[in-house]
Formats: sequence, structure tokens, C-alpha cells
Amino acid sequence: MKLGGNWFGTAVGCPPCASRGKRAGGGYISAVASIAGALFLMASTGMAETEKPKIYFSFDTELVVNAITDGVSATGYDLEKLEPRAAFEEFCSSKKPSIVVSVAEMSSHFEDICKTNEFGKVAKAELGFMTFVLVQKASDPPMTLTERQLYLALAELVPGDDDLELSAVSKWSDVDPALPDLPVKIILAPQGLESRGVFDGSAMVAGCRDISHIKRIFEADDRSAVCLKLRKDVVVEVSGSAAKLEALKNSGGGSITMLPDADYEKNKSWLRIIPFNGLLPTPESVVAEDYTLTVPVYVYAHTEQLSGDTLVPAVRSWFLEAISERAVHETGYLDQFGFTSLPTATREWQRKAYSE
Amino acid sequence: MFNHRTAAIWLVGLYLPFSCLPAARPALADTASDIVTSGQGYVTQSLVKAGQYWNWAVSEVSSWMPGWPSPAEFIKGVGSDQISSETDFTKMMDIAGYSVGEVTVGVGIIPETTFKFTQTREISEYDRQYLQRLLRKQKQERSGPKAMAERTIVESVLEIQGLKNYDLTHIDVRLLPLPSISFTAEPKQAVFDPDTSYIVRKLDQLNEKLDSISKN
Repeated sequence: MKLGGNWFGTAVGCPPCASRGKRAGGGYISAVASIAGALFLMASTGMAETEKPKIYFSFDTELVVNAITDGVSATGYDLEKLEPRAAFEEFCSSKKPSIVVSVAEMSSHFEDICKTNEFGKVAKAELGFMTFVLVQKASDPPMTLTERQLYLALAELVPGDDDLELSAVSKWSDVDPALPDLPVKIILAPQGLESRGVFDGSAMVAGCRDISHIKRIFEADDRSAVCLKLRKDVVVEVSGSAAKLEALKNSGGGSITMLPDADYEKNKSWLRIIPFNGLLPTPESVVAEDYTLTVPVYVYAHTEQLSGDTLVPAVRSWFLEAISERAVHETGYLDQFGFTSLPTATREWQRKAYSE
Repeated sequence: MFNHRTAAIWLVGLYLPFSCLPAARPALADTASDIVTSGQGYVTQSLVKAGQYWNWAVSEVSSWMPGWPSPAEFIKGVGSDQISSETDFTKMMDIAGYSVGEVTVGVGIIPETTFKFTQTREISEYDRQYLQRLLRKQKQERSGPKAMAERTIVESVLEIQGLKNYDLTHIDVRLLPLPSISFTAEPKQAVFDPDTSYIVRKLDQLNEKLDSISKN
């Protein structure tokens, strides 16, 4: 465990237990003293608030970003939620020290913009995969689900003889006789929040993508809307793993939910993982991208801010913390968010490449 | 076995014809003109970028030509209706919204083979993410010039599809006599001259009338 403090009263150390609230109020120096100290320091040195490095991150990565920020001993950071494309635009258009944490890879278009703006090369590191699992109560009959079965069980419109028609499914066995004869019910985060994007993309859209009735729809938005329109009578929307677990506990047989892998581990005494497309989330299946209820997490920084004459220590500290073993090792602190690590050799290669 | 004839074909064929054709779609405001004009540089840059991708891929693989697929192998891969894996080229193009619409085969002193991919649907953000996953998977599973060429084409398609004001409507993959790839990008909002705009407005009004008549 690393211990330390800074002018902003940040209590760094034990990243897993350092919540955002604690960071703001904890530390060796009291909150009031630290804020006063910080203001005094900023006023006396002329340091502007805007000089803090920016960290742009997509919503899915918020917990990861907070944990890494808690783990860094450098000065404060400005955290801002942005969609990957907007984040890359900001990153490549401002000379301000910045980092992007994204679930999407930077396209060569943005790499070119960065170069055109004389920011030089972009340093990229892959941290691993945020991994989610479908679970059911251990007391229910075991089930295994495919993306197509999930779509057919949950969607409002399903393929009929000639066109899409309203679904008449009420039990899992209506979708496939091999599934339990229990009512269909799923507990999910509201659309656009938490892991819902992963479920929507990897289960619902993936399950309807090859259906000929849907393939015929030209407009992307219309197609997605059909795939993502769930039946209200089978979906319960709640935020946060604790609320999902509570809802699952109070639901009847046949109910399922999706959680970060780590939350399943904490509750495995009464939960069972539902294999998805016949696969369990093993390190091998996740890294090979065969198991698809995952999101890759990438970190980007300007190479010139990581080393050399234009080094920005706070950017370097954050970047190196993100790829450090204490963060991304199989038992590192990101594991608490259901993080699946990359192979040891890849992690080692990344660390060597950027720490020299 | 090193095939000198094939090598020569692939080495020589480093060109990329592009065409940007205006689509027959109405645009009523001046802003559309601005959008198209401002987007023109962007699309040109991206198309050139795509060309660089292709040239880079071909020049890279030309240094180890023995592994480069013969046109026959490529045809087999592209033209096959049977998809054996989700990372197959045809499957990836299908996710990107393109299917083989036309195959041109010419037999003669200079043979000709071209696959014309036509856009069958727009790509959604979910499709884009899935395609990026497939590209990463393919990178892990398959190496060699053929796989690299396939990835290069699909990455270029994704890149160009990121353009807000253009639709990539056709992709021609030409294998013989010289390998090349060409894209046709059409402005989503083309600007018409006053006469054409008048005709389009009249057509719209006529269609509205017909619509209301049919409802009554």
C-alpha cells in the first residue's frame, strides 16, 4: 500500500478503498487546511486552475478513471466525461496537458489531426477489458443463453412469417424448449447508463443483426431502434449493482441480470453465471474477444508530454499508474470493477515501452 | 513457391482511383452548400488517407511477396457465399453495410476481375464497435498479406464512413489486371442549381398531393 499526500489533501494509498468522497475530504492535512494551502500555493505561484491535466473519459470507464486517479501521487486532475470521438477532438485540438481514457480506439484520422497540430506522436496503452456477466439465482434451473435467444425473449418486435410482429413470448421455454419453463424477466441499467451499452450492443443488436427482416432496414437509427425496443413487461430498470442484486433477490424464478464480473464474485454464494453464447468469461475467452460482454479500455497521451523536454510530470505519473502492475495485474486494484487483464507479456511490453 | 508473374502484377499495381459523385438528393438551404464545401477537404483527406493505407499495405507485403495471395485465392475468399468465420472479409464487409453487387470477369490477353461492393444499409454505432472487435480478433487470429489487405480495406471503409456529410455508396475491389480499390463517396446533401431545385420542390409538392389523395 502506498501512502502519501499532496497539496490538495488527497489521501493516496489503498486505491480500492479510496472513494471519490474520501479523496475530497481525507488525507493527512485537514480538508480546510488543504484547500487553503492549495489556494495559497496557486495564488503565490500564479498557477492557474487550467494547468491541471485534463482526463477525458467515456462513461463506462468512470470507476476505472477514479481508481487510477486515486492511485497517483501527482497533483490534481480535471476529469471530464466525453464520448470517445469528442474526447479525441479535444485531445488533438488543445495544447493543454491531457489524457483520454476510451472504450474505442483512436482512428488514424485523429492521429493525423494530432500530428498536424504539432503534438507529435500519440502514446497508446491498452489496459484490459471491463468484463460483465449474466447471472441468475443459483436456486433456479441452470440456463445458458445466446445473443439470439436474448433478443427473441426480450424484444418487442420479433420476426414473423412475412414481417416483424409483436412478441408473444412469456416464458424462456417459448424461445427454446431447452430453456427453463419460467417467466422471462431481466434487470438492467437504464438505457445509456452503466453497462447498458454493452448489453445493447453485444446481446440485443448482435442477436438481431442477421435477421433478414431487420437487415432490410437501411437507416442505422431505425434498425437499432427496432433491435433495442424491449418489452416493458419483462424489463426492470435500476441503477447500480447493489440495486440490481436486491431486485434479483426479490424477483421470482427465471429472472436474470447483468453485473460486472467482480460483483458476481462477491455474491457467488447465491448467484450462478449464465454462459453467454456458450462461453464463460475466462481470461482466454475475454482476451481472444470470443466472450463479448466486455469493453476494452485504452489510454492515450501525447508522447511529448510523457518524456523529453516537454514532459508534463502529472501526465506521465497518471499514464504510468494506469499501466502499472498494481493497477492492471490480475489481482490489481482495477480487478474490483471486473477488469480482465491482458497477458503478462503485453503488460510488460507496454510498461517497458513507456517507462524508459 | 515464389511466383514472379504474380509478384510483378502486385508490385506494379499501386494506384487508387477515387471518385466523388454528387447524389441526386435535394438540398434547399445555403447551409447545405457550406457543409458540402467544408466537408470536401475532409473527404479528400480521408480518401487520400485510404489510398495511403492501401499503398502502404501493398508496399509492405511486396517485400515478402511469396505470401501474397494469388488473385484466384482472393477471388475465392471474396466471392464465396459461404462464410466460415465471423472474421471473413465478406462477413466484415456485410457488417459494414456492403454486399457484393457485381462481379466483372474479363477473359483475354489482359484478364480483368473486379468486385463491386454496394451499400445495402448504413452502419450503426453498434455495428462499428462490433466491426472493430472483429478487426482486433482477426489481427490475433490471422497474419499474412491477405489478412492484412482485408483489414486495410475494412479499416479504410470505417474511416471514410466516419464522415458526417458523405455516404460511401460503392467500393470496387479490382484484382486484375492491376490490383486497386476505389471508393465512391456521395454528399448526403447535394446542392442543386435553381432550376433543378425548382423541379425537386415541384416533385415534392406533387408527391405530397398524391399522398393526401391516397389517404382520402
